[in-house]
Amino acid sequence: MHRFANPTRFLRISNAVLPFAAIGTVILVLLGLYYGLWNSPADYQQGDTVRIMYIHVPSAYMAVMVYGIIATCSASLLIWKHPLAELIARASAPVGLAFTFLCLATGSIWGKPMWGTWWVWDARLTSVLIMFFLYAGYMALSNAFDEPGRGNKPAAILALVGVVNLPIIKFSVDWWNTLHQPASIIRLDGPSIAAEMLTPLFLMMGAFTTFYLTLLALRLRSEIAAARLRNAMMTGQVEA
Amino acid sequence: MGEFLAMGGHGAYIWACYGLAALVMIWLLVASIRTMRNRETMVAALRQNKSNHSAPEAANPTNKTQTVEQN
Repeated sequence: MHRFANPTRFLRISNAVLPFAAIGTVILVLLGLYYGLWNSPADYQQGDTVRIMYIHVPSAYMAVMVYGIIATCSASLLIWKHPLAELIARASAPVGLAFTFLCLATGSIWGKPMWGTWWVWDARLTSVLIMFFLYAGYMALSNAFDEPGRGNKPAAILALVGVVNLPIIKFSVDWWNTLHQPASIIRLDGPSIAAEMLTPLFLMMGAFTTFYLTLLALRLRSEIAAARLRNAMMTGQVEA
Repeated sequence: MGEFLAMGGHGAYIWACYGLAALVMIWLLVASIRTMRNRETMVAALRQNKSNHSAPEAANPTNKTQTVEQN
């Protein structure tokens, strides 16, 4: 397992992934925009505002996925002290924070014309806001110490404690009364959204995923360079 | 075209969402690339420094090729 921890080897893998992820993102975004804005029907209740879904739902999905990745990396950092796990988590956190922000902001903009309010303190909205603060707390904590690497452990523990929030986000629309609509894709009886709307939705979810992979490849290179700089500061040696 | 932009009267909300998403994602990409470039330039500069210090006789061509290889 630790052979993947060799940064030079890992850089080669992530550099190989980068162009595919980047080109994939461009293609999926263009297709997603075409279907989402042009070649899909307006909703019979929500009119054209349903098109906000093609940004809002992929943002929410990525916000939760990236949190899951950070939590998995945190567990692997605490249990196996895997150095790459730390780098992936550090590289992912600001991206997850940005997706969570997009989810909250687009949800709010969608809420104004449909619910008549920008914000309500219901379970779904509040639990996603808590995830936003968990991301912010994770980033603050992992950079809170002068000594590099010192903040990793407390940050990892925070990320793992915050995992409790993920099922709360998922099931909040079933457990409590809310303005937010219930799950409509992952259901026991299959998706309840019209097929014409599922096409742009899945295209955009794909686009957001490949966009995250693109950023991850770039940001991992960046984290590896940062680790080399920190190492050089401490030892006066620059490793190959 | 005007009808498309109006989005059934909800254009302002819809375009605000798409615009915001574009801004945030482009900013993420630009910031990530910029930070990566800065850090990699600093690592390269440190290496350059190091090899210059450890090899005072760097003036001769054989040493120079070695420096390039190390990078």
